[in-house]
Amino acid sequence: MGVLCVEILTERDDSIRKIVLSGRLDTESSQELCSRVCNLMTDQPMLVSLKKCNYISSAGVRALLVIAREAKEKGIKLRFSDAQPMVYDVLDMIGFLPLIEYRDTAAEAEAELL
Amino acid sequence: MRIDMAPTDVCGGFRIRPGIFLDRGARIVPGGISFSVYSSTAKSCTLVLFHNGERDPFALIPYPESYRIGNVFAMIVFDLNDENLEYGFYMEHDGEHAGQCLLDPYAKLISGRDVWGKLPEEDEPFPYRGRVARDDFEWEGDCPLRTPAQELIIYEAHVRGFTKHASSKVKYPGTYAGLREKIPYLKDLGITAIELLPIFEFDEFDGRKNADGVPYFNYWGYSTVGFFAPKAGYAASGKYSLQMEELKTLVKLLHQNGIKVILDVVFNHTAEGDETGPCISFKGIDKKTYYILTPDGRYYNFSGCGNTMNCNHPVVRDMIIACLRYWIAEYHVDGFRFDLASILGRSQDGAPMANPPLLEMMAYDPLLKDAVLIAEAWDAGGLYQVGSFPSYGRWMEWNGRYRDDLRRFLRGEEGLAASVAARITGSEDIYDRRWRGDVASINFITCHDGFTLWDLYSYNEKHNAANGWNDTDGSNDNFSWNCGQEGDTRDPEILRLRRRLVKNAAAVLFTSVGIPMLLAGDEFGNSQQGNNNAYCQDSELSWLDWSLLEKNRDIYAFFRHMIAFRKAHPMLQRMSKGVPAGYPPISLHGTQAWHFDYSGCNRVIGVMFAGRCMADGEERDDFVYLGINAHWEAHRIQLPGLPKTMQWQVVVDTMDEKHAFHETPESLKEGESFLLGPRAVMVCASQFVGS
Repeated sequence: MGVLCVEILTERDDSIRKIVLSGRLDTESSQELCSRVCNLMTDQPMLVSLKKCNYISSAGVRALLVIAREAKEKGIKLRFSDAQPMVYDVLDMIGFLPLIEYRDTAAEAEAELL
Repeated sequence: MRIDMAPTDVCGGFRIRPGIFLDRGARIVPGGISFSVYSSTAKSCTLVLFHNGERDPFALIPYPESYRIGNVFAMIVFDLNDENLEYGFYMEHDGEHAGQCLLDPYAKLISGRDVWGKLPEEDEPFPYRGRVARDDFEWEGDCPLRTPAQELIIYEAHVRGFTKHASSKVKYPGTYAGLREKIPYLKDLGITAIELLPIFEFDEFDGRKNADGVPYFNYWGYSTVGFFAPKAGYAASGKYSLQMEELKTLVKLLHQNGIKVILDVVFNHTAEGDETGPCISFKGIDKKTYYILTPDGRYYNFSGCGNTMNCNHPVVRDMIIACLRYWIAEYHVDGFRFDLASILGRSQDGAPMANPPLLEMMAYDPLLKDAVLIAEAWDAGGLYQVGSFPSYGRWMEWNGRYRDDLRRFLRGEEGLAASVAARITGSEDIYDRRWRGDVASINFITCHDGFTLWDLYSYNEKHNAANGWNDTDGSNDNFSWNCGQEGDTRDPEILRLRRRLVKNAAAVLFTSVGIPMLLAGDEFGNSQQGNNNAYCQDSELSWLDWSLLEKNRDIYAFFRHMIAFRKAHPMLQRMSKGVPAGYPPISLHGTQAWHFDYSGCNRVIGVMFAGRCMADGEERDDFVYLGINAHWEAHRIQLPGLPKTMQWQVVVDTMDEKHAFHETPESLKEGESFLLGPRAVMVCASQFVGS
């Protein structure tokens, strides 16, 4: 069963909207993930940390792509960062890291967003 | 919302409704998954559902009688988690294979061999299972490349063998991702297409045996389990069932670097073998449809692999066309090379057909219109159709005559000068341009099946003992020459000669009219230690040894320069816009210009190509001269005269050990001859010197 939690770390008036995804990104959680994260998009840059995600499936990968595309269409700068090894490896193996503007550390991503 | 997408029945607690009859295979639909399968012989069909990796199914759902139209069963099952789902079918026949869970012939993902070389459990009752695929992908605007076929320079490679060796230094050795890391290398080399040995799901343990404690694999993969599914074991991400995404990314990035993707496909037989082979899918679903059978129901073996697909049965034809269309539309591949393609032209009783419907359909299919179609124009049943393959003006062929004639001539055999001249100039004696067009001939000297180019000049005999068949496997007709010593040597003279012969072959291949194909690794002298049939060698014997790239840097540089040279002279690709006044587009010469020696003992050939090319922003006359001296003595070559505004430059002289390709070529004075060394090749190009 895919259980996903979207944790919001900052308030709307901060310079970067920081979000932490936790749990499993799979077919059961991906649809909710997309709608929740997309609903959180304002005109602020957004940093989505994957540090608490411990699993990603094909549907989860698609969810990240949908979020990245939605941000692009809205003109919002968005970076993903801090993936756990399994999630990082999957995204790396299938060559998706460049597509979602992934950065290894939150600091690196933040520096680009500011 | 569609009104016909709601459940209509409940079976075993599952909400169901009739599925999509026009489809085959599994497809995600709103709220559920449609499962559709054909059988003309099954009395009934049951859908079998498993959670991933579970031995026992969690659901058996019989197709109600009303869920069958004609010979197609179709059912939508709602509320399934497609990512934790494997499926198959039970079919009830009068005859064999009752109670066996069968793989969907149209399965787009297949689990069971997710990690290369990981042995399945011995008693696994359903070792290959269908999985449901999501076909969507972030293509970033990619589509199959539309560059002209004349520009093809094909590089034949094995996905695993290409980067499995530690010397490849890639992060994901032996995988699609590993190959992706080598794209900059391929781009630097200059090839324009990569032809991948089979990547349809196959079983690397097929025909497995151990001899002297050494495991042997079905390494090449010419034994398909599922035609629609990519080989999961070739994906670093196969254990996560993401092989589809990994392969699509590879195709996309190859395209972004101007490299087409051609798949070596095996439709002539399947992994199910003959009467003694396993029942995986087709046998149990409808063997009379899928296989050519003798009148008493046994398997014809035109493939040499136990069975023969019934390619011209209308249902099988449909499946093959659907498969090719799927790989074009969903994976954006650019073409196919058909293994033992002559089988695709056999009728349902096995006889060769004059106008095979399958081949005709492929030639005229709208989605395949721009696809490269390459035939290996023979089969194991004795049909040899090089030059006579039913082509409809569309098909190209592996030109086995080119391989054999060039091999024999370049090692010094006599009696071949006229044939070799024909091969170099487009094999028009075999492929009439009026019917076959400009690109019918795929020219090659080596391919996966046989010696590598380095071994071609290092071994007189095959050395296949490591295959475990007492050296009885593999061809004995290699037309090779060891240059004086069998195998590895430290003799500097022999090594020099071998390097020269390798460069000779490359120089001729890349200046010949037709589509050149090289075997991966030949460009840096890769060896298989004399093994000419490495089909079972998942080992360092067959993996490319990238350390040779540094050792044989001169060979690599030569290949790279010759590929660039070919691209710079369009007439070699039959793409010249015109011919210089007073010159034929192709002319044959010998030691004397305009005098070709047709005698049986001649070993010296000159070929001049005349056309037009772009230089310094303007179109100019262009001439290329290829001189081959396959004799063991040097010969003085008189080159044909050029227009007064031009002079010859010697671009290639393979006698020059370190710099056989001259980046700053020397000019020949008008009327000056050139002393071409023993067993050497020269290439000259015209230089504009002004009026």
